[in-house]
Amino acid sequence: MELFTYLFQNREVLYIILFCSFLGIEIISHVPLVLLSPMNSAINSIHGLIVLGAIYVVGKAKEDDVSILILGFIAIIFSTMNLVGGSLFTDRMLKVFKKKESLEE
Amino acid sequence: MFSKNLIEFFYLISAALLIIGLRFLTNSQRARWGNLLISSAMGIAVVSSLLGTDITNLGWIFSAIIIGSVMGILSSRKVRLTSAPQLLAFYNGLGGAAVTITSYIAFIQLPILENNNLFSLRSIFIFFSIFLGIVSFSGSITSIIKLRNLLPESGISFPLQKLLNFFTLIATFAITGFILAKNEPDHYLLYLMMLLSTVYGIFFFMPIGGFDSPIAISFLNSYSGFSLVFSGAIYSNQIMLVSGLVIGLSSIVLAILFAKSTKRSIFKILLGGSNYNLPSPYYHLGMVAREITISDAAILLKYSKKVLIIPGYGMGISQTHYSCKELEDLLIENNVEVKYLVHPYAGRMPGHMNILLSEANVSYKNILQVDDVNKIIHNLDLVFCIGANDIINPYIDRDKKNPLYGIPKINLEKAKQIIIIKRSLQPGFSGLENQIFFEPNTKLILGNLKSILLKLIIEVREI
Repeated sequence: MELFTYLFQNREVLYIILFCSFLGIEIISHVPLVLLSPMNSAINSIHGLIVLGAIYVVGKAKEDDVSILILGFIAIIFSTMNLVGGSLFTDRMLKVFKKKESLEE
Repeated sequence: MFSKNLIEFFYLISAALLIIGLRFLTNSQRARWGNLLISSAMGIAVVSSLLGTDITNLGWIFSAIIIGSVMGILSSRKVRLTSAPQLLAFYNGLGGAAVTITSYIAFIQLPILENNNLFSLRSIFIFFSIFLGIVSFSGSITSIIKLRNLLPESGISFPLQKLLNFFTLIATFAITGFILAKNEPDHYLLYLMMLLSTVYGIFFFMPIGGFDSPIAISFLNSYSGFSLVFSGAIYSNQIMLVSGLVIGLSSIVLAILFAKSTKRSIFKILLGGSNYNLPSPYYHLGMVAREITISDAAILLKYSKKVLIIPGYGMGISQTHYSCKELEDLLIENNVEVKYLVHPYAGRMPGHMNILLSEANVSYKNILQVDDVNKIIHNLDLVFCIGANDIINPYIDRDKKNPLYGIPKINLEKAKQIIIIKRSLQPGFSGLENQIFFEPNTKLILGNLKSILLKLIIEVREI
């Protein structure tokens, strides 16, 4: 029963899920083949947003709770690497295309 | 510092930028802007999450962010574009590990937060998040090991694998249910559940052959996308929820689109891996491969009117895309019309060859698709294949058991003259012998691709 109460209380979340589903499908459905790799890479970098969860965990931890602080510290490092590295690598891939286009113009 | 409402407002802006950015990424003119928008959206989200009044331990947070950024910058610069799939899988694994760690911390803190009522939706979210994070992590590691050729790339499978895989999945969920029903945070059971999830992740990605690794990478993306959704639900963070949903679903669509464009069954790949029985029925004993000297090949290239170059993964590993472009320029000077064919399955991820060719400044207009080439192939004087094997197999549609069955077929049997440069006559990553090597109008040059191409360029210049 708890599930139904939860769902009823969080109707907005359900609407978000519904719209995001269509959005996710719609956004991707017209990607040219050349851009599939950069797209994959950009999508990959967005996972780095888990850093928000890690920041929340560390930010809310008690100062003497060393094990949680260390675990959270590692999680922030990993997710920042995912985020920053992924974005820069996507840009590196896209730069390659940019160079080519300016030559053709 | 800032009120909660203001932070929520920043999150909203960030979500909007993220979606616009993704949209821009589908357009080749605006793609770089798109990535910039996505990056700044994520930057805004991270900064605004730090602005909350209740965030402490800023020293820990900032030092971790700085270390992570530096490592991210270094890793993204150092790696060659040719090993992009490995790097993507590596980043994905890091993301998966981060999800697992944060959800594990959420599990530790659970009894305090939930007034000792473990059976709540929140704890279900935590378990899903841990499960998806671990699968994404172990799957990424498995994919990296396979891409680095430490395991057979054609994929590994053993009898009863499907059954075992299914059993692992069921056991994982059963243990999860058991922990919830016991209503106390049993750490040993959680470790068992995490171990089983790891095994599931390995078994899920191990049998996927090198040929289907683009689809595997898309699925890894969607696993981490959905883990982000559940983490977002744990911390009631809308931006994590929204972006996780968008990328999770778009990754699945990407995988389906890709499977469709190559006529492969996504369910087959996911359920049983994509490897098939391999004894090759097409290998004709007594057929001889004909080799050609480099100077003869140079003459053929120079005096052809229309040449088609088909690059394969070999061009990527040998880093010969620049030499290839040099050869193209040289041929154009000699009034040879040069076109390229990029097979959608060339390389180890979608668009892999396009990136390499663009890096070497090959014009986008000169890159053809399989269908275009099949219409004109009988008019071409010479087809020149560099480090390609499975994608130029013209007999892939003879038998449905063939591991290559269903991928777009180049009608090479109609080509007048074919020159293939390759490292050796070993089968490609499908494990299949390629009969095109033994056709009467095929000529081979075997050896190191880089030195062959360099010699070829010198020869063409000197004739």
